[in-house]
Amino acid sequence: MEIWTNILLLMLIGPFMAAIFGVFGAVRAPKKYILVSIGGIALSLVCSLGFLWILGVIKPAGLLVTQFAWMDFAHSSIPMSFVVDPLSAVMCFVVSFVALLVFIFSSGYMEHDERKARYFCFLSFFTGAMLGTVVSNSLLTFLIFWEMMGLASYLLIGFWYQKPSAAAAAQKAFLTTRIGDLGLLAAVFFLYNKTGTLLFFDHGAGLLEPAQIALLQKAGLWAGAGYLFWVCLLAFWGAVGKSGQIPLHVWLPDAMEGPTPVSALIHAATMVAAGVFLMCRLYPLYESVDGLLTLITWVGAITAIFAGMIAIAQSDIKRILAYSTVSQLGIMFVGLGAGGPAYAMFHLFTHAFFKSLLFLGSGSVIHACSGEQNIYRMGGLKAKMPKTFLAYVIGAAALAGIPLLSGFWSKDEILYRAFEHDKLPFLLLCATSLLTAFYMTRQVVLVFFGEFRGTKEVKHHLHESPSLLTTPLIVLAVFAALAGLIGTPWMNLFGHFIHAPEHEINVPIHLLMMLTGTALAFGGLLLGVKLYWNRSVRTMADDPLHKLLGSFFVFLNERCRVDELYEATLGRFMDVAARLSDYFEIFLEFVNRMVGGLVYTLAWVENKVLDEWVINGIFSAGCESARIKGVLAAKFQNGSLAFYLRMMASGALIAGIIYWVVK
Amino acid sequence: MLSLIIFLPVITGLLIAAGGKGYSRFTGGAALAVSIGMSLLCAFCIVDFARGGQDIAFMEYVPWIESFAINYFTGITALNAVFLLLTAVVMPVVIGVAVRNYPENAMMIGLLLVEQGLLTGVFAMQNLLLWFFFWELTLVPVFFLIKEYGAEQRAFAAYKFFLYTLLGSLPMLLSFLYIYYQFGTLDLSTTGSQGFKSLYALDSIGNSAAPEAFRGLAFWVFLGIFLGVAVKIPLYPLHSWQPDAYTQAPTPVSMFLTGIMSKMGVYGMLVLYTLMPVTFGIHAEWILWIAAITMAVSITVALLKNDLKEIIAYSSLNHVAICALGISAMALMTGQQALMKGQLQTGVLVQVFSHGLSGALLFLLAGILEKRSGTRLLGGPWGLRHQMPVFAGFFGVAVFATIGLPGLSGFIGEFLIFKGAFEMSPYATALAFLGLIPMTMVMLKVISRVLYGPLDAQFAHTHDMNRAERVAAIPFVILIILIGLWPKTIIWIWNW
Repeated sequence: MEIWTNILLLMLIGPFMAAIFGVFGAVRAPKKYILVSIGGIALSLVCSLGFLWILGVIKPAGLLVTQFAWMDFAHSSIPMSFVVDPLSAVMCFVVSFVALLVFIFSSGYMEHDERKARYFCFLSFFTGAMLGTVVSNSLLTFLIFWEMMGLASYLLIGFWYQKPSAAAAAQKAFLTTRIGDLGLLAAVFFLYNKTGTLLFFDHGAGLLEPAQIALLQKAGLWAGAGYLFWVCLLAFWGAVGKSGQIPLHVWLPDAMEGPTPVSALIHAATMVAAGVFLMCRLYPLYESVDGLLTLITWVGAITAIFAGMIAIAQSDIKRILAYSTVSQLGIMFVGLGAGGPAYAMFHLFTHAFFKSLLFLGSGSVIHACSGEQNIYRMGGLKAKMPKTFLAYVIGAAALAGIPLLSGFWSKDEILYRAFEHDKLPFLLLCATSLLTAFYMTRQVVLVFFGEFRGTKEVKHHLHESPSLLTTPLIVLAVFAALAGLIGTPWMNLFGHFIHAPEHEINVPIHLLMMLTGTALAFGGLLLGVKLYWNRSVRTMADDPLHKLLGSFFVFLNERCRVDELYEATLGRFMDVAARLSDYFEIFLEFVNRMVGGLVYTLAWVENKVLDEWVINGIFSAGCESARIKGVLAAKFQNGSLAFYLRMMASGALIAGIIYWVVK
Repeated sequence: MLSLIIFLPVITGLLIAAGGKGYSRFTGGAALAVSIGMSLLCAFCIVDFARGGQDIAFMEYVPWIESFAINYFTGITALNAVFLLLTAVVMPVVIGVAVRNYPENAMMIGLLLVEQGLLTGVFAMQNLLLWFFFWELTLVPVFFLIKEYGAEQRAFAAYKFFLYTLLGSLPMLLSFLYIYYQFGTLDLSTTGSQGFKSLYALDSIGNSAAPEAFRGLAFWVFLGIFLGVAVKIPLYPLHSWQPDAYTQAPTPVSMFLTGIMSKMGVYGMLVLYTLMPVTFGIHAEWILWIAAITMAVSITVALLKNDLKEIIAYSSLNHVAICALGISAMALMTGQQALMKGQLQTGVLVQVFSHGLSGALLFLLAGILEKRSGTRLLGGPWGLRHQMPVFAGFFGVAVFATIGLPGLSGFIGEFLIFKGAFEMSPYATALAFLGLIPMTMVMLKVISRVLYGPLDAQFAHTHDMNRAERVAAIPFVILIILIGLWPKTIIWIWNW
């Protein structure tokens, strides 16, 4: 076994062992267990740094691929397989790095929860599954870890299961992503049936290698489009579900019912980005199909603007961030569709830092405000919690795309690619940028500036969070500020590392895009400041935007009533389907009883008419044995069985008569 | 060896049942000891078979009624090994549950022990007449078990169950008799190379033993056997006994009804496929549609149900029908698709084992829950996760295995079956596949009603699963996880 395979196994074993350990007996010593689970993640981080080092410094020729038999059949097998390439190495680093910080943050945040051991167990399980997804070299392996991740997400969203809203949110998240996953599963079937392999890279015989792609392209038409088109569409459906794109975005904002660090890790930085990662991984397939990349671009752009609009009207600090996540994931999809994996991955990379920073920061704020999440009842926290404030502002500025911070660089590249590719999605992205800067300003102003608007009780308890919470924030703030510098147009280390094809850059237009991005960011910022600065907004009615937009604001606040729409259509549909099935069931039961009744009647007629008058002599011999058995059975069963035997005999007789007559 | 495994439980069981009121601690222990001993022996035989690599192992071949060429013929083959193993895993737990929950009831324990022997017999018999004999005999203990110890509508459910399966197997008997009439033997064999006359691929053109007359009537012979099998699986529209029987039966009986008896139908279908592959192939398309409709409709109906055992019964309908889906897709495949066929057959067998485990585990846990709450109806939310964390963990494993979550055993079978079936009949399979959505909805609803929410006051003093209950559930949980993560653990048994 080569050294890197050992590293790979270590990376997966760390969190999974921590999770297994957590199932058994962690409850007895939660404090020690938390240290163990943090150690597991730290191990993963070290391993992923090892991969970056191997790929960046040693530069092995070819891909690092390993596989072992998992299911064996008589003449075939389905292996498990893992790959380390630049794409997965980068993603491993992001996942384990953010996870480590979230773990450290959680150890402070969840300190007073009596089930904290269980919490760390679930979180370790999630991290292991996420890392497994990232290094999978087989669509099946990928799917297995992918659904494990879904389970972890379900468990963590519903972590405070006593809250009915949390239970409902967990259920909704699992169901919605599962609807997406079924698409991916179907794609797996079709790919396997056509190619006989599920491996991504397999020395020229893998799915993502030219030979198989050529085969798939020639696989013929189905319902007016190529076979590959449908397969890719199904896989994209899976990504839509996991990454919360329209029309399956409804679960992601509700997922905020989980503990805040969970939202930071799973529902901002890693799991929801896995859909984007899947698309990047399968990009060679998508590249070779007409029309799908355009579709991805459009879905991304529409989701981005749609979620951005909803975000401006929310009052829950975490919901704003949740819709912002949906919106940013849309931007990643645009980057993928219009540019390629390098652009999507770069935005994913920077987004992971600043969005997890924002979520952890909001966790710190919520912690300080005794669980209050409504930004109308916050304000003036700047003085009380300076470290959180500083980190939060950096994160918000990076998200808004203020120049030189990380979000600026990644979004700028996507804007540029979108502009080159298709003008309309580009305009949608521009509007999204403006909205992003606006809602982040609105949030920061309402939370940190002005005067405190909550109750006296809460105000009394306001405090800066302990260093266990603020240290991860500061580390993330550094990354949120600087991470973009490895991917500037002049020195694109990131793109170089993941072997992105070199695109020609039209310098004047690119500069124009940078200016546009900057203008939009500052425009949104100024708009936000103008509307919200020094306003005492205590309720939704006070909100200046409410006065400006009127009932449209309420509509946005109600999240465009998508949930209600689904309830009225899909929910209704399932209801009707269930009822129809039930009627079908009742109908079958009715037929059963009718047949039973008919035989019963015939038996009665036979008993009265035929038996007594006609065939006494002919038939009694045959019936006698049945009757004897019947008498025996009657001792146990009150004679019913005997009766049924008679019925059967009579039925056979009548059938015989009919046959004789017809013949 | 196999005869011992079959008849020792039957005899001991009858003795215990006949002992009746003179029950003491000793009889319960004896029943459990016999059950576990025979199961271990059976497992040992299966491992030995799997290592040996012969077509048939532990064969016993004794001419019984020589003038009619009826032979007592048993053996372990690649086809029945997993069914025997399933019986060996599930039945001791079933009997253990009965010993614990109905300690004064020697009749019940005895009948369950008899049932263990009979079920082993059904799967082990390699002669169609004896097979049929055991197939019918298994009904008798179940009839009494449901009728005497079931819930409020037990008599109705017992009669319905008995009549349905009895009437269903009559055409099967007629078909067997016709086969005997034409071929002069009823010995089964997987390959036909045992050195004696045996039945294999009766309707294929290459089979020189097949008379012309038989080919003409092949469809009717096929239909007769199929009806018997379809009632047992059960497939729509012959399923209506199943929800009643599963719901009304006491916990241990529900466990083996769903765990093993429903698999008798699947086994019968596999035997039918080896007997008449050509006829099956011709008619597989509509059978596949029936299986798909069964899967989709049954689980959609469950959306409206509020009785936990009924919900499990409907989900079980779905999960056994998927085996029928797989077998009929297998029948549709041509010789060129041997590779895919092998995977599909593996999928069916894994699904058999996996559903046997998860179905039985679900009923076990439902029984535990019923004991605590006093009702089968889902109320709630009950918030039992707080009071019963161990139960919550086990219940979660069972439910997610039912949903087919990757990493648990349910996924492996579903994956392989759907994959093969999609290739053969995409539209029907898509219908069945969409059934996974209501399946997820139903199962999540169950979890959220039982485990989530604030703790209901009536459960404030409920205790978690005690040691005996844990011991009963743990083998299932371990196997479900093990097979899900490392399917080789089960596949190697028939795949040397």
